Amino acid sequence: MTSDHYDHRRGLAALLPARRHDDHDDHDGHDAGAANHHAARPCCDVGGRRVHDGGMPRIVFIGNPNVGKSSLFNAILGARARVMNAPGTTVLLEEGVYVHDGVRWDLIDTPGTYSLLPLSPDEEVAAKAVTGMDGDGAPDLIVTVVDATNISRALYFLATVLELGRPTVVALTMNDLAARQGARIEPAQLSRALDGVPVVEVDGRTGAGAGALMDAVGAHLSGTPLPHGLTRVDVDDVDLRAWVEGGADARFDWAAGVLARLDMHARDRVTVSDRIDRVLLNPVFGVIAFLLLMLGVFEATTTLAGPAQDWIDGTVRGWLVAGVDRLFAIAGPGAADSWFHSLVVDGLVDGVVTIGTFIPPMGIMFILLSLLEDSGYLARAAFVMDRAMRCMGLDGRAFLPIVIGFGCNLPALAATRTLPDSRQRVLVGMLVPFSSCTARLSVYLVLAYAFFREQAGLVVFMMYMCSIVLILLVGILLRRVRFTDVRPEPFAMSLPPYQVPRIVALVRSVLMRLWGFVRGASTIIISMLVVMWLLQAIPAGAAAGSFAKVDDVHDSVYGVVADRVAPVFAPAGFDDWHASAALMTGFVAKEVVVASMAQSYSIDTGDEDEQQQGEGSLGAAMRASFDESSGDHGRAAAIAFMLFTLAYTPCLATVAELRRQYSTRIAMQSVGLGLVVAYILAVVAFQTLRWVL
Amino acid sequence: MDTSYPLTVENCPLDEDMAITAIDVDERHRFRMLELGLRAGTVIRVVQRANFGGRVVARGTERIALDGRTASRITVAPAAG
Repeated sequence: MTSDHYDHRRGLAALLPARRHDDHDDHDGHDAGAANHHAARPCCDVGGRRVHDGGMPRIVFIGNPNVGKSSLFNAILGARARVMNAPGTTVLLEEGVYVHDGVRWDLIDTPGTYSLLPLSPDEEVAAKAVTGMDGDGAPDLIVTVVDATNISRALYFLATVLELGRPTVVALTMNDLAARQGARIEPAQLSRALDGVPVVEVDGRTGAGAGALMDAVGAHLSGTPLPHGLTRVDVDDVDLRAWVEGGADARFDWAAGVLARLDMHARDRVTVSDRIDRVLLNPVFGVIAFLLLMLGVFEATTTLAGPAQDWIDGTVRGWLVAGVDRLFAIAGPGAADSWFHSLVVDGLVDGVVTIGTFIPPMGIMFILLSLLEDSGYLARAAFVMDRAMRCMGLDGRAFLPIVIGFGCNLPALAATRTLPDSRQRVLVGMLVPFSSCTARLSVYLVLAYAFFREQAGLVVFMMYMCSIVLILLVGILLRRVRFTDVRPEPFAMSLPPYQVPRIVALVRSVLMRLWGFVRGASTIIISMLVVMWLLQAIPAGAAAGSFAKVDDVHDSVYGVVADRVAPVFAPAGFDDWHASAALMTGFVAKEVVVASMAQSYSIDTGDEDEQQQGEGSLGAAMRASFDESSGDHGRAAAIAFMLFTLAYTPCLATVAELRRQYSTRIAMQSVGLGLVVAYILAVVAFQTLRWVL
Repeated sequence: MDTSYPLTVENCPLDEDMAITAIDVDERHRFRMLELGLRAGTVIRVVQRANFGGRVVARGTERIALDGRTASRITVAPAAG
């Protein structure tokens, strides 16, 4: 292969780094471009299995959106599936190793796409993976997932994939729904109509047919026929746009021919889904139904999850601490007083419990997401909310995570994965932390009762209004600065028929997602909590005590850091170490901000609720501190403090989830954005309000 | 029928067979429509009106949701037969 070859690359290929060309390209391209209108023949005449890095054949799954591709992929791989970002992007790919008859295959699931001519980064990743322009070379075999209820469009897409000339197996999904519509497709008949391209009927929701599909993959790695009427293309030497657009009519003609051979005609009649849509997509009732559903999801992730979270935080924590104590008691009488015991209880156990408390809302969110996705409603939700979210340049589905964020940001971030466009996913992921979660409410309540007694309710309400305005403004800002290529696109989406979700598949999917969360978030949460413990355990001076035996947190390194940080907040009116220490603790979790304040003032608030805390001795101590630090504008400083709490990093778990879902860079950008917005907001609020409060 | 306004997916009657005559969107999105199965000559039926002019069109067993603006840019004519 000479460099001249690369110079000839056009279209999408020319934009990409030159891919490796090893021995298998010899049989890839030798008859590229040759017309093949006359006879079906093996198009992938490989002499044996191609091997990639690591020696594993690479199997790429591709298909239109909402055809059950990811469900099928997860049914095949189970917990072995690993979600990752496509190199250099935030586009999610799933990958995993599958062992078939002792041979390991590398399976890759791509984002759903209608075309190999991409309109978004997600579609581009799918197109690159299937064409081999992703730098890994052409796949050894392509599994094209074909939706039986959208057969003509699926055949058009299949034709494009087949023209790539790689071995291809068709996974036929949703045939049960097609049967209900009187349009069932016999796999063997379809295979004959495709001149021998293997077709396997599968059900991603139950996993039925997955084994047969993988057997078919194994049997056809050496090649599959190119059907009559399709022309093979060499992606290395073709203008992608010209190829895809130029061949469209021929592909539709070919698809029509296949449908004729299947003896399928447009079986057009009113379906059950049409009847359901008359309500759920109705201009009025559709919006009401959507809002009720959102309310239900919000309630489930907050109210329903609350008791389970309290149980884990109280009872389970008690069990774990008791267990640790028992183990240390075995080690010796003094062991329970050692720094190591303190590290295990206040660092590790605290970390495990923190992760545990997020499992109920995350689990509920994952269940609801699976229900919404599998039932086919989520595509409708995007349609119903399209116009409302369009003003922010966002997909209608972005409404869901932002609403959920007002309950808890963590499941809200999980809900961003329903957005098919990776840029929107990241943009919404960066907006979610500005949704004022219920944990922040405790801070607002205590401060509102401490400083505004009679107007406490109004102040808390204003915080929620500020949260909404902040989401809108930061959304506009991010779109102008960071996501300039995110713009409203015409909405044209295939609506999948409604389906009843399958319990087994649902449980499997929820458990896999929960495990992914625990595995991904635990490292950062536990290590950060250990760092926090360490800062509080190291005495700042000789008189402060010994390691892990610092009575007053102000005398620890943590207190020293809080002291150093405090002057930064002078322009916001709370140049006070109690406040900065509470904000530092609030980085871990907003639930502990009030407790941290009480601890720093050495006030035992016991079983007092937020109102009692605000109106009691804690409130009095805070008023004294804020009045002193703000030059007797304590109320203005309190508002500034609440606004800072609203806008900066919600909690450590959110940072861990941002990192897990997107990248370390995006997690850091989100933290930075939150801090900058929070600081500006606090300073502007204090400097303005001190004239009136 | 008032012919002063072109018949489009947005304003055509529900549940009647219509043939697409033209799709007036930019080139890359027009091609995407084509790949979705919507192109000049295709016979469709509008089966659902949604908010802000949004429409669901049926092409055989397939259902495609279109926003109001896009729906108003797809001109149609009653299908023969």
